[in-house]
Amino acid sequence: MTVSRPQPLLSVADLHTWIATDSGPVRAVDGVTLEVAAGEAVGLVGESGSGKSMLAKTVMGLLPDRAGTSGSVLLDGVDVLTASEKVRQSMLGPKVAMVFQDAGRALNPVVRIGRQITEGMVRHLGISGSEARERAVALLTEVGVPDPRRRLSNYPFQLSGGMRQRIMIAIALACEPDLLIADEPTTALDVTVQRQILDLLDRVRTTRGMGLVLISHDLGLVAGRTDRVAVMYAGRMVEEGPTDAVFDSPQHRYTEALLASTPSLDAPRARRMRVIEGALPDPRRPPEGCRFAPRCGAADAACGVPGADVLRDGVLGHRHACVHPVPLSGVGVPAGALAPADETRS
Amino acid sequence: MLLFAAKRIVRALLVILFATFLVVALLSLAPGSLAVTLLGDAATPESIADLEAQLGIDKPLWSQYFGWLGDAVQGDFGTSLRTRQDVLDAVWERIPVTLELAFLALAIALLVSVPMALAAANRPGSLIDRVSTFLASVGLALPAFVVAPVLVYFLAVKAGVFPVSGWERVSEGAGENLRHALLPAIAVAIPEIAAFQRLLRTDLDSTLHEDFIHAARARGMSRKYVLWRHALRPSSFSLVTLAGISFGRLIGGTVIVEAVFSLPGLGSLIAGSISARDVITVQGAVAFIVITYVVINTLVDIGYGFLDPRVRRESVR
Amino acid sequence: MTIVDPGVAPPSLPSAGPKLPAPRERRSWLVALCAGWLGLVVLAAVLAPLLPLADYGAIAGPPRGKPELSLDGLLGYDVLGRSMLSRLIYGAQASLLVGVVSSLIAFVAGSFFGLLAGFLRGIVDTVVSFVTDTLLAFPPLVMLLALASVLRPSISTLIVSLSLLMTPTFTRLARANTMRWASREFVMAATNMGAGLPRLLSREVLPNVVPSVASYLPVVIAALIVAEGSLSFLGLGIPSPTPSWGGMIADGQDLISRFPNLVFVPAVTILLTVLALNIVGDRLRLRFGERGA
Repeated sequence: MTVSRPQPLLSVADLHTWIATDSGPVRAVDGVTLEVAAGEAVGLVGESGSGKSMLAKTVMGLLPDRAGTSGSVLLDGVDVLTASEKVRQSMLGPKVAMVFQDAGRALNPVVRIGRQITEGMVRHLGISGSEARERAVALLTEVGVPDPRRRLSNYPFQLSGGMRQRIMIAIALACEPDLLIADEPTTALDVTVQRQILDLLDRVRTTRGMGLVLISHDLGLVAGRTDRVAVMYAGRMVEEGPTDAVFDSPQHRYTEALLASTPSLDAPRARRMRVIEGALPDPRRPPEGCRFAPRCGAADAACGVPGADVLRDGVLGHRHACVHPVPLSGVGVPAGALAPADETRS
Repeated sequence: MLLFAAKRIVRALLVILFATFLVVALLSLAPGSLAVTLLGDAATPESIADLEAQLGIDKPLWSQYFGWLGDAVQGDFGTSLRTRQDVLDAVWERIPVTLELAFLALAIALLVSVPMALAAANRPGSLIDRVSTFLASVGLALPAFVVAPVLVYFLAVKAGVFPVSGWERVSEGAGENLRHALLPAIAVAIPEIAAFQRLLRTDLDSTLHEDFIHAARARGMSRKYVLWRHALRPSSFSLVTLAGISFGRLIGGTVIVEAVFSLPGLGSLIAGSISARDVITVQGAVAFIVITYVVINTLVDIGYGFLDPRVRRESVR
Repeated sequence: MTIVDPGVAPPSLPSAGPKLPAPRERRSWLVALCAGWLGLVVLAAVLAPLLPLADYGAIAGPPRGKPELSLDGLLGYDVLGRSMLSRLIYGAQASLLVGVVSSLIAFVAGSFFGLLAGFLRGIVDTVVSFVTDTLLAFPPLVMLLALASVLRPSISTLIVSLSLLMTPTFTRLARANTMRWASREFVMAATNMGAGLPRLLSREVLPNVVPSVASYLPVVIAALIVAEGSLSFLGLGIPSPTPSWGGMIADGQDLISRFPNLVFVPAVTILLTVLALNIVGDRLRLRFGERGA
């Protein structure tokens, strides 16, 4: 008898997502593999333009018409890339739900809050409108919205930013999804409200045993709140592993640089804040090999070899895609590895 | 909100004053003496002076205008030179026909253009989109004087579904009335359908890129539902505005269709008065139409604020 | 360190795959077709006197004669037996002349007022905007009818009326565009360096405003051809015996049940011409209309 691993809730395999433009396809997600188990919290981190939001949009089927995909995205065993529109829609809500970055824009300004919460329940759970409203009141109470009954007949503009984000979360929870994707859920909020919202997400996740993908450009934000973290750069996955391991000993030069540029209290060691020089590569013509090489102090000719940025296995599932990984703490970088980045460029 | 409304109303009043001044001044624009033109060969110096006094055009423009204005605010838009009928009475007699035509045309235009635009915006670049958008382009190139005779040929002469011309009052039965009104209304509606479709299609396109549309789709709502429940309303503000303006424009703008179908509307009153050289009736009817048009546009402008709950904010709280 | 999964290396992008949507279709063939039709109409109108056609007023065949294989009879004959093709081509002359000349006058006048209002602001802007608003308070056809009631119908009075009708539209366009450009750094800089007003307007603002305003010309020409047709249809436009498309439809209207040709020929011509102008105009506006937006 073979011992089979439990099937992951979400399994993204060799996913490519690109957007057709007049000057060639923009390779937004370029060969990414990622798994999220039931009940697991995974952080997805990268600069804006790294492809993390496009990855989420691919899972949710929210790509623009000019987008193309290859690879597979299995959600509870069903490939959402090839599933019929009907099947896909039936999974959005009960299987997976999404919390958007800016609730001010993700809530329809001319539709009452009540309808926006209940419409999904009526469609997916087959319950009546009045029953859905009762559930909506309970949901709003759960996410800490005061006076929930009255809120149902409000329009979004009548509420504060923090309240709106709580309502977004209530909408996402409405059909009791197995997986919640939160795309920069606190970026649009005040600092004080940010922590409340993150704590709320934490709480509902644990009470419901939900899987969570927390997307952020801020490594510090996902630090204490996720089991595993995946780092993306220019459409590629560059490092992935248990959150503590990635934080304590980042292997990829990009992750290291990203950590150094994060002024976070959650970071394990006090690092001086640095800014990563240079800009993201042109997503229509990404460089061969490691895409971070042009900005990397440790890059050399080996980094430019096609396939240089495949993920390499490490201990405890800590994987990275670096030719010259950051040595373990205390060991300096070999002089030879510090060749000027220019040599690798044409 | 109230301040905004007050500003619009003051501006509308100023525009009405200046516009009616232009209408009155129009009479002095006529090349040569208007009286000579009106009297033709029978003109004698006495009869010319007589007519000029009667028209008031022997006085300076300012006093002409204030005289006209003084009468107008009392509901006196002058008396027809030919029929001796009070101009405002003539207008009231004709207005039901024009109003019905405008309402019917607008209803048809909205009923056709909204589904057309939704179908097109649902799948940009699809066959439906291209057909719908192409039909709209063709519709814009089909002015009333082109489309009305053609409609008469196919639907009245060939198919015999509708009468070729004429009008029946509602009092003679709603069915008969509708049978006579429908074909002219369709002719009026066709260019409007095209304009509405294009506007709504464009607005829908930008709405469909909004986050809240993605969010609704991410809730597993069907395309159709998202389109009707989430995209249509926030996209329809400029359409409602345009429909309001179109309605104002159709009061008096249905001249051609009224001529083709011999309908006793406001447009045919003006057209008839022009050929009869009845300048006073033209003047009064045009002034009436301009005032109506400005009033409707101002109402639309103010009403726009109440449509969008984001603008309505101040009045809610 | 071992490479565990070589398959993760990025494959060459399946850009040729069927899933990749093509960039938005340009449909340049349609625009070319439209431009071709417009060229043909203009050419026919300009070369009309040189063509071996019967005079538009001359009886060239049987009254209401069916189309036949001769140049004059290609589209049949009208009520009096005049050549439909000849009348159509001479009608194009009148329609195009009126439409194009009025549009150009309105364009020049509107640009002038709009430029001044948008650049000087203040009292000039207030006055220009108020007059513009007032003229726009007349429904287009009603304004034309009001003018027609006092002006003797002729080509020149028609041009005056139609340019007056469209000047407010161009004024608004030019004003909005000027205001956008006048706030740009380079114009501000030129102002600070003490450039004179005429120089500033002609060197800095005009070259940037004109293309986007001018891109509306085809659509306006189309609108004015329609307006002229409407007036001629009512007998208030181009006076007979000069043929015009609107007038031809009006003439044939009463006989449409037995001789639909008399209406269909000018109707289709107007449809195609206005459609072509609109399509070309849309393309031009797409290209120039949003400059600096």
